[in-house]
Amino acid sequence: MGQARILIADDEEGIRESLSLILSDDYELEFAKDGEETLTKLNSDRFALVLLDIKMPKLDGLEVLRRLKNVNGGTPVLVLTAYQSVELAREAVKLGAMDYLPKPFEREQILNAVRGVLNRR
Amino acid sequence: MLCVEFSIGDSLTEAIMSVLIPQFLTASLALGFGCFVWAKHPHSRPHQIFALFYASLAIWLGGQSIGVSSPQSYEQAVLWTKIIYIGVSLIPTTLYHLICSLYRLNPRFPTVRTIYLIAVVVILLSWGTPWIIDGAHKYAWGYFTAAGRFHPLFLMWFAYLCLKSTWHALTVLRSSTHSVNSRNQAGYLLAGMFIGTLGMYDYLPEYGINLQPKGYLFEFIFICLVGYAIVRHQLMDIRVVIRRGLVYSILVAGITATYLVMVMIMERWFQGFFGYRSFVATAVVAFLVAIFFDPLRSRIQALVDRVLFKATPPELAAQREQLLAEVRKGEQMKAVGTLAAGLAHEIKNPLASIKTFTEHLAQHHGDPDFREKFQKIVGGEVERINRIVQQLLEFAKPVPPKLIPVKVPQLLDETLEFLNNEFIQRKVEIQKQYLADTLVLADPQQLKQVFLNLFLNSLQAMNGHGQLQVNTVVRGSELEVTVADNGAGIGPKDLPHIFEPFFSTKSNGTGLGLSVVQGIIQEHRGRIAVQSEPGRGTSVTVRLPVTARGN
Repeated sequence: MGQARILIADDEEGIRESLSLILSDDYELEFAKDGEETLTKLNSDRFALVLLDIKMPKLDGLEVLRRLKNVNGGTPVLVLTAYQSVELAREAVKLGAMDYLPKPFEREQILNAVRGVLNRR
Repeated sequence: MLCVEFSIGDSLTEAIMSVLIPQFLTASLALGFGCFVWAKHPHSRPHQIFALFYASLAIWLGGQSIGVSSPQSYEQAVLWTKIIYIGVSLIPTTLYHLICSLYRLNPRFPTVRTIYLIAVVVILLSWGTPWIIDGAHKYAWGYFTAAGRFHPLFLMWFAYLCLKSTWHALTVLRSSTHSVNSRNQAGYLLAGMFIGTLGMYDYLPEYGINLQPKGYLFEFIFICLVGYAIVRHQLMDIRVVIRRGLVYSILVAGITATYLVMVMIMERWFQGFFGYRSFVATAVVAFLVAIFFDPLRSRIQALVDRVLFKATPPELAAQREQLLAEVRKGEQMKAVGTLAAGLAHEIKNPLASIKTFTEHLAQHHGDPDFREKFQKIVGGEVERINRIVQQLLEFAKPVPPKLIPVKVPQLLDETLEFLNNEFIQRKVEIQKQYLADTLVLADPQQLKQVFLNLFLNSLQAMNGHGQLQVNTVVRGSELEVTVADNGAGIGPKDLPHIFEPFFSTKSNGTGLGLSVVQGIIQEHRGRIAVQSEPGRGTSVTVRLPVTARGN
């Protein structure tokens, strides 16, 4: 069995590189820099998981989640954001996100969350 | 003859003055108060129940006031007794429900569902059978509800619910788990309920005892006590700030009701005097009462201001100013909150990268690829945090501008020159149209920063192959500088927020650029406006006061 494919959607290069450092040994990674690119990639390809930032240009993460419901209901989403508001977390979970990770994150926190979601499948 | 039977007799006149008018006014007060409280929080359950409770009081008192004085036949009087009983059966029900809802009580008996069910049964019985109400008594002062065979049972239920509600309020008053304010509220409510229960006095004439229904007096005291608890102790979560509006609302309701009653009395007087009713006469009376009433209303309002708020018009203005200052302070605090949230977001992103890269340093320091990325990412993110802090300082503590006469076109050219390489690289064409030698009083360095921010925004929005128009024109006493691009534009959802600190539609923006620009323009006593259409471009107009025009 090949490595699970994860789509990392974040407009910040630093975050994309950081998540790559944490995850690239165990998973196959793909990147998107904004909401539109995220949706395009999800439409054309299959992923085991999406790590989705909330504040992104063009379409924000919540909007991506809303549209994702109609496009590809099966892909689990972990929301990553520097906003630490409970309302936002609730909104994201209501829209179908499986969990909510605040930035700055710990390496183990990311790995555990990703493993948790993938094992549940 | 009906009109003879109901011509103005002594007893009826006395009843109108001492019972029916004050009864009607108390009903209007209850209705106005109920609507007011409901309008404050229309979706909150306790507020809805409060309004329903007051509406029940209004149906009871208003119905009595009209039902005693108006019916021209026994059948009409009986119909009114039934209408009154809709209110009467809902009074203890809604009171009990209100207390349960206010103090989050969930009693096992009687449950809220049970009490409403019983209220519905009482209403149905009073409309369909003679068990609860059995027609009407006719006294010298008018018709009044006659108690039916099973009325005593209803009376016991009524008293039981009132006592039970009082007991719950008493429990809250004695409980140490509730706040002092909560206990204060319960205290007034309790006193009010105790006095309000004395309104059961009105049941006496229902049993054939010839007493005028003066129970409204107790309800009036009840409404005043609850009103005081709302004003002074924020009962129903209504803050003291609205007290003047509250009093005026009640006043308007009271005055309107008095006006109506006066018209009614005049109409009756006319009927008693001439023996018939006339629409024209009623209209004339209404008109005359309105004319005499208007100055009276102003006097009553002035009296209320003096007595209740102990303030003269200048004092009122000062109070209003103080209130506005409080609101402004509240907005300022909200702005600080937004600023802090934005700052946290902007700094947490680079912190996340720095943290991850430093965590992996020990493991990957031998990898040249990692070292290169480390330098690029960590260096870039540290620089970004530095930039955010610097801009935040500029935003939070703007340096006062050193104003000198400035030629704006020259300043625009210098700033454009500074970015020339960028324009060439990104293939952006610049079109300029300046009015010559227009002077404004400005700080040239700060104004340059404004233009630099605007040009950079346009450059990023165009993303190559665009057109940048820079125009200056004098309109009236202002110099208008327009910076327009044909870039991506700003969506209507984002447009209202672009001047908010930390609001950015760009991935690497700090969201402080336009906030700083706005701050500088305001310091220069100027104005800034933005128009934008997604896909077509953005146009920013800066207006600065002109000092003098050159040749």
